[in-house]
Amino acid sequence: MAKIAFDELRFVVVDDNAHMRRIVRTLLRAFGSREIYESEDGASGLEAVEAYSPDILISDIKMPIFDGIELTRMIRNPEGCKHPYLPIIILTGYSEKKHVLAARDAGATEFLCKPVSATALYRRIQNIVENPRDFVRTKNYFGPDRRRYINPNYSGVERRQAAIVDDMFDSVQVPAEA
Amino acid sequence: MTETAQPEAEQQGFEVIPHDDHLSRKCLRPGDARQAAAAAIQQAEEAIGQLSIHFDGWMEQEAARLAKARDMTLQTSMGAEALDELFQVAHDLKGQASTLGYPLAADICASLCRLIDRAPVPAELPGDLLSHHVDAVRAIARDHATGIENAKASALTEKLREVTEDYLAQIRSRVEAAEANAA
Repeated sequence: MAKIAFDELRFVVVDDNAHMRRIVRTLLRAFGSREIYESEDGASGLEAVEAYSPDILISDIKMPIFDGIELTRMIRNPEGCKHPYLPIIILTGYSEKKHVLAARDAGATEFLCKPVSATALYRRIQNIVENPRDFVRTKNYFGPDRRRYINPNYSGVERRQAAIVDDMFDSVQVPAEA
Repeated sequence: MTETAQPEAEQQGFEVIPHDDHLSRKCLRPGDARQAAAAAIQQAEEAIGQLSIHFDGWMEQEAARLAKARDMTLQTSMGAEALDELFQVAHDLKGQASTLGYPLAADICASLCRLIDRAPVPAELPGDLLSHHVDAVRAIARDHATGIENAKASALTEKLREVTEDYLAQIRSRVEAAEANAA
């Protein structure tokens, strides 16, 4: 186990609400980060990713121009974005299962529901740094492996082989329907 | 991240690209992880505590934004665009209000979102019930009724939730009865 030197990490925070950006920036600064760039919509968020090459992106879902799910998809396009492996934390009030699954299937690395807490944000960043996940490329998906763990007792057919188009993964924890 | 050739996997239609450790190499340092995490989280909570002097003002701004969206919704007789805007503002506030120290306002916004989202015919939504939600959020913001201890705000929140659930149940029954008749 080791401690995280936040002063080595560069963040981009994308949220159309200035108050939420300030809260997230305050948390990251208190953790020790010194390089935090902000954007207020998906388009300027993508520009910030290209311009600043952050280590971690934190994005809301609902935003003008294009939303956090679309932003995630654009970043996870190796032909269109220079940083397809960028860790992405989706931070949103949309905690309903369909939004969690949409974020996961777009290639988000972590999902965090508002209200945001210092502990929850720290744990997501810690998980990204300490437990990086393999990436998977299929016909329909490019992003972090959506399986959080390998079930040692599973003896069935691998779903990627059995139904690649369907490409379902069942181990992501999602909150109850709001 | 280094892409590894996996001819067999590619034939099967997927490729696994092993993770690399560049972030951990970049920012993990020897030290007690648990102690460092506890210290960082405590610092962050203190920083949010200092920032919280702004929260009442921010909450009032957000409540005013909600009221503006409500006014537009009523002026347009539940126009789809205005109603969508009201839903979005309420949804934003549902996520933010607890962070700002107003969990009851968050609950009221959740009830408002549920009302808008679950009504089968949005144009027929009861304007009074929409307005009561918005006025309650404004009152909570104006009176700085933070936390869940304020008895009046708590009772108001519970009542709005109850009336909304009753309304949605009635509507559901009506829709089911109409479907049964049609069949």
